[in-house]
Amino acid sequence: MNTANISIKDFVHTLEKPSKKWYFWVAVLSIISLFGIYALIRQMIEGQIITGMRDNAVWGIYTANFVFFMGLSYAGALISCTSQLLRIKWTKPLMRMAELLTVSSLIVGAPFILFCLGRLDRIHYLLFYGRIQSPITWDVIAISTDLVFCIAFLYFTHIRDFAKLRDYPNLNTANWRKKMYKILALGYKGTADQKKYLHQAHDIMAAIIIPTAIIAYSLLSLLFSMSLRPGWHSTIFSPYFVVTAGYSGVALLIVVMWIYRKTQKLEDHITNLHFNYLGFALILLTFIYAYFCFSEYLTDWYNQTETLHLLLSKFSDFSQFGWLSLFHIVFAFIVPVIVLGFPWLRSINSVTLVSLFIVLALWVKRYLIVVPTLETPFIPIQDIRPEYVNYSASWVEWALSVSGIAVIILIFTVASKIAPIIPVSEVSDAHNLEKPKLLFKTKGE
Amino acid sequence: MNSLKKIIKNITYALIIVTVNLLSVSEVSAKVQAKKERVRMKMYYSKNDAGERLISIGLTAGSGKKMHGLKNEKVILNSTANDSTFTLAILETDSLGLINLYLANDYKFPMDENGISIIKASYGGDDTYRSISKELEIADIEFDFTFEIDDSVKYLIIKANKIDREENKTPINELDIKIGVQRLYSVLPIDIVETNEDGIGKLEIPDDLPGDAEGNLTFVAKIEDHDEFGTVTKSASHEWGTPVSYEVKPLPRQLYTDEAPIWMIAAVFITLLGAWYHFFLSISKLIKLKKSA
Repeated sequence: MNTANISIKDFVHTLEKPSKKWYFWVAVLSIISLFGIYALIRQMIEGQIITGMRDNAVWGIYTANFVFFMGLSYAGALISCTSQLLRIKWTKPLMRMAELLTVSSLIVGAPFILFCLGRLDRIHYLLFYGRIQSPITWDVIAISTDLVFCIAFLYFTHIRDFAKLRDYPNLNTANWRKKMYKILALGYKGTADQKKYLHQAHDIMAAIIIPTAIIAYSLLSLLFSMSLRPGWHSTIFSPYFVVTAGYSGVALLIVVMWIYRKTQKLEDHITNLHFNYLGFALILLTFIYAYFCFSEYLTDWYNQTETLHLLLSKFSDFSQFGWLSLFHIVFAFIVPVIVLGFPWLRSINSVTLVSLFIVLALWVKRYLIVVPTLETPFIPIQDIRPEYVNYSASWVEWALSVSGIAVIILIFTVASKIAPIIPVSEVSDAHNLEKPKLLFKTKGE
Repeated sequence: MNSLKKIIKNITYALIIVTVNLLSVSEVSAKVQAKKERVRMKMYYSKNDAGERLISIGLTAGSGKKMHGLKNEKVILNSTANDSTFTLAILETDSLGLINLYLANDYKFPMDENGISIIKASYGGDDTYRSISKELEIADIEFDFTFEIDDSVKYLIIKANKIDREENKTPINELDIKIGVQRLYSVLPIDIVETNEDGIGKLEIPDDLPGDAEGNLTFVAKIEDHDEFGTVTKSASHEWGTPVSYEVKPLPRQLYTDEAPIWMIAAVFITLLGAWYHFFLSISKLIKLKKSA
């Protein structure tokens, strides 16, 4: 890891006037995103009848996406903030990617729960008539708070790089961007006082984001566990959700690292060491996640009621959710343990490929949390038309889901054109970090 | 002679072929008819308290678990009086095979001199379903309520009259009328009275019926599925109930009521206050940073 010699000069070429390829890539992502907006407009005009959601399965892949993207945001926040607070040097090059992952997945993920609303035009009623006792109200408050905090934290980590770009001679970029760097740098010159203030702001924000993110994601689990439905009503859902979020977030961070390493040739900054360390984290999280899954399903299986038995039988029935369950088990437990467990199977590419499948498997897991339970109600269903009982996502839902992914990639693409994807100032100062504020001191300190 | 034999033979063959063909055609048509599903039609007439009339028609086919409503099928509703028929409405069944036709209280059916209207619903059938029709004879009825106290005993007197084309009233004899008191969700039955030759029925009303805050009771008179009058409901209010105050106690502050428990509001606000305090604290550091530039 080359930290001492890192300079803004190494990244200026990635920030200067974009190539035609870049514009083409942005255009493709924009078209996909706009198609999602078209699908949303169609849904708002025609109603939820054009989605797969019905009287019984009132939630579907929108809710799975909501839980999934919120989870990604949580992991990014945890990595970047603990790295800041504990002055962890090796994670410094990854901080911006983690922060961007947090902000982009929050921006994209939060609206997905709104798409489940039958009357989206009445969303402001939640503000006027929202019940403070409802987990949905808690969620809205927590997620919006978390989003503001994470955007602020992302900005804080950019200030010193903006100052460097402002001072960079002959930066070949548009004038508005130079003005933007000047404004956003807040007149940072690197004086002792300014360094102190910036570190304090960083530390305070990092310290408050960690509990906010944990609260937000725990509250998300309460949307499910507060109900008495089989498969949802579980006391371990909050920590289970937090662990799942960390697991999927770390896996996606590895994928993002791999993409930037390849596309921006960052082999000097994102090294084998980063993949190794995150690989350790991944294997640890695999076992913790497996432990939670085992605890959840064992208690369900052992105490199964009639409805719970019906629900669990769907996970082993290959005409229902059997294939999805198998995909989840294979790629969230078995493959990571095999690939990361045996030294001769480990490499940057294999770890990345496993991470990609973990991300997919954990999206499937969110789907398996949401849909089978809704298809297994307590009360016998009177109108047993298959389309009312069994959920199947429509093109509208898939369009919005794909466009959500496109928006995240678009945010990464544009953000890495505004500032280096490696936080240059953070990395170059990694050996000269401000000491963290101590809770207590020993004699002589 | 041979030629005559030949002609007779040919004619015989021709007749056999025609007969066989005719038989097979009639057999096929009979099979087609036999393949058509039998349809059932149910028809009800009712008149509510406001005098509005409702004609309900249900079209079903199949039997047992396979019974289903015929949706989007046309039903013609004709009204007949004094040998003249005219079309009242052409209606279409809904997704459950039902039709509900509401008629305003001032709408008048064509009636004969006895005050009888004949309403006929006809379904023409199609390639799958057989045709069917059903008739209802309807006469208009009116209830009049009188409230009397005789020797401290309360009596509800109800008079049933049939109304003819000229609005003349004829008392209805031997009509069973159900009397009840309207409660919040349903009618509390009191008794059934039978009218005499003057169309009058008399019922003793208990003293202890709980009324509203002013002691008002709403008495409901009803006849159900009568051959001539259908289902008819009429109500009237009178201060014969025991006044009951229905004060609703305010619900406690709980998770399941409108107002949240104080501890929950406090917990949310303290948490948010703490979080946003730190946010603004870090922003204040940035302001200091900018000022020191």
